[in-house]
Amino acid sequence: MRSTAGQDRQLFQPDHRQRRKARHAGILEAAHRCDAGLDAASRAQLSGWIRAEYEREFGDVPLGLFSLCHLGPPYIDHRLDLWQSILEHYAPADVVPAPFAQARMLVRSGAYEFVEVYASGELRPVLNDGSVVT
Amino acid sequence: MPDLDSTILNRVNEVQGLVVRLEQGVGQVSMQVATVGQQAQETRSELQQLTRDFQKYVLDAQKAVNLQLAQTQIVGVEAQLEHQFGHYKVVRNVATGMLQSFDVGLVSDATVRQTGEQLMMETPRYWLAPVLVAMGAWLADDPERCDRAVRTAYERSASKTSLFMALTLRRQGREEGSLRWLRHYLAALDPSELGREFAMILESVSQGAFGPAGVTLIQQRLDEWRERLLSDESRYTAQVNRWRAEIDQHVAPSASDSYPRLVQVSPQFRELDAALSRAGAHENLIRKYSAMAAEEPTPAERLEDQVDDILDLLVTGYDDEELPLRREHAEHHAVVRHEGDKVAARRSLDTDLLALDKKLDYLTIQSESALAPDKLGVSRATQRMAVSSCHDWFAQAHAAYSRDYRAAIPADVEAVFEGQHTREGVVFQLPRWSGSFNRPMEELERSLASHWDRHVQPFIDKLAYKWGTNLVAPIAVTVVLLVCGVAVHPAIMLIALLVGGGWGLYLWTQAQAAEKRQQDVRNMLHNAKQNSLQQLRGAGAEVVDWSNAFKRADGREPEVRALIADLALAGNAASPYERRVADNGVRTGA
Repeated sequence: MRSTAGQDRQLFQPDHRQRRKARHAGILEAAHRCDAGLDAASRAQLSGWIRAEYEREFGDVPLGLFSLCHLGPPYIDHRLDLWQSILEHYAPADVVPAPFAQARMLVRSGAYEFVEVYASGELRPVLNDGSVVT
Repeated sequence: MPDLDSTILNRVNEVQGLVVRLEQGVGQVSMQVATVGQQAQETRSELQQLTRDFQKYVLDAQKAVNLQLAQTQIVGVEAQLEHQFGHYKVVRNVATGMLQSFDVGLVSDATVRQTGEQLMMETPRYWLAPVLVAMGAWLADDPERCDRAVRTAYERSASKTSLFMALTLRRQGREEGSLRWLRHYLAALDPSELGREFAMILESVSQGAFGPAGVTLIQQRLDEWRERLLSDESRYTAQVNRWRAEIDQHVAPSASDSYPRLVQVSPQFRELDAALSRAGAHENLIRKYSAMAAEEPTPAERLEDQVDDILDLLVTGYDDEELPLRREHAEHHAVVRHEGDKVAARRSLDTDLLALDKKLDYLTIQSESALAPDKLGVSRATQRMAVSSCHDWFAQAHAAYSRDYRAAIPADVEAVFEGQHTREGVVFQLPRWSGSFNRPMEELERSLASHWDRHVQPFIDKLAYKWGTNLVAPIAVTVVLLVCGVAVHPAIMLIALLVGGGWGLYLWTQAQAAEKRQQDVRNMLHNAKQNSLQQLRGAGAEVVDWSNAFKRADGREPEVRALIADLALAGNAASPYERRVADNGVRTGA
């Protein structure tokens, strides 16, 4: 039983090369759409589309995306929860929930377009050329 | 009655005297306690210093012993190497000399043959000796003997003999034979378990030693291997980790000396300092690798020179038998290099020793050629080509390194003030105050100042002289005496006034002393408060300095990324011989 389970896991485990593949321009653009005000329906549509893209292209869907916010003061960053279609903007004094909180210092460095936050707590920042840090 | 009065007066005076002496005694004792406390503190810090000095002394002494021992052992190991493998050196020298003598034709066939045979007898088990016999037989046109000698060499070391033959034939312009040996060599290899001499193949590619056909053959095989090995994620991760260790070695030293106040007041300074040091690695990496990217290797004029260099490396490189002694030699050298610090030596060897390990996979050979070229005996051109070939791992390791230190920066940098302030037996303990440097400095200063005031004022108030309680006794005594005077004798009233006056005078002097003490403590705490505020301001300025320094250092990260991308491209163009036409510069025939 154990060995079968192991094989299954191996079969369904996304290929590490697929996971490291650069994020395409469509995803980068979709992440930027969070800078505009979105109604509930658009949010759900956006999250659904991003989820489907991750599933198809990289075989691994993050919990959500965290990036700098360009809405202007008092907001500095925001998170897009891909599964619950929540978009939350944060001011400097706001508390960001875990595991998104750890991504805050990364986006603040200004070096990344956004940070993918996974359920395991893993953070994979994406650079402006789409390459991902694993 | 007057007797009774004078007795009471005397007793009261006596009691008064006793009270005064008692007060003095208590004052002295509290002074002494304070002195003893201070002395105990001094003794404790001296003791701690002594312990530290002693531990340092023990450590230094141990290091000195280790250093001396390692130096002695190096001599011993070198003597052992010379004794056990010194004669290999003769064979190696003869091999190179023999090839050169082919070029100029100055040595007779008989000498070549005789030398080969003699060395064959003197160095049993060594693969190069039968190769020399084969060369002698080849020169004398004795195919049967040549064949037997090659077979013997092949049995002793299949891969080295194949490679040697491939290179020698290439050198002599026998391309077809050279390729046959090369194919033979490559087919027998397992990419997950290569010997150290495989680095010579990388050397040959970078030097273009096998000509276009050979390079194509090797390149195809290497691409296949890379593809096969990289499908295993653990191998990919191992290479990325190897490069991560390389990047870690470039971390800049701590800059805590530049931030003395921040060190004192901020509990997050350690994280800030670590982030700054780690960001400093970009600068160091740029310095090291941009020099490599800018280098243009100068091609040697004759192909023979390249092949000779590679043959030199192949024949002079350590043989497997020598490895245990060579490893020991490297260990002792590491101890000497780290001045007797065995832990540091072991740490550096953990990454370095990999280059001496017997079996490595192809990917590791690439990484090691890039990171420890001296250990594998490859040239600068090969190192550069290897860095280029490893660019993906280097880039991944660097990106993950940058992510990790950026994520570890504390979101909130705080200043914390608390502590003891002592003066003449008066101890004031400032309760903990903390404030975030994310807030404006004026707000922080206000908050810290009001924190001081809030706790200092009640403390100073408590030191004030308590007239109320101290006056009860004298007033009571005076009133009783006055009542007695009215009832018994008017003279007692005079006594009552005297007692009351004297006692009052005494209490007044006490109150004066208390007020002076209160003023002293007030001044001391005022200075301490100003000192805290100054420290806070200084630390705030240092946070700004740190932030600027960090932005400067961290801002160089994209340059490293660009540099790695440059190295990836540069590596391909860096082997000018790679696609060289076979006849170009090749001399004809032996």
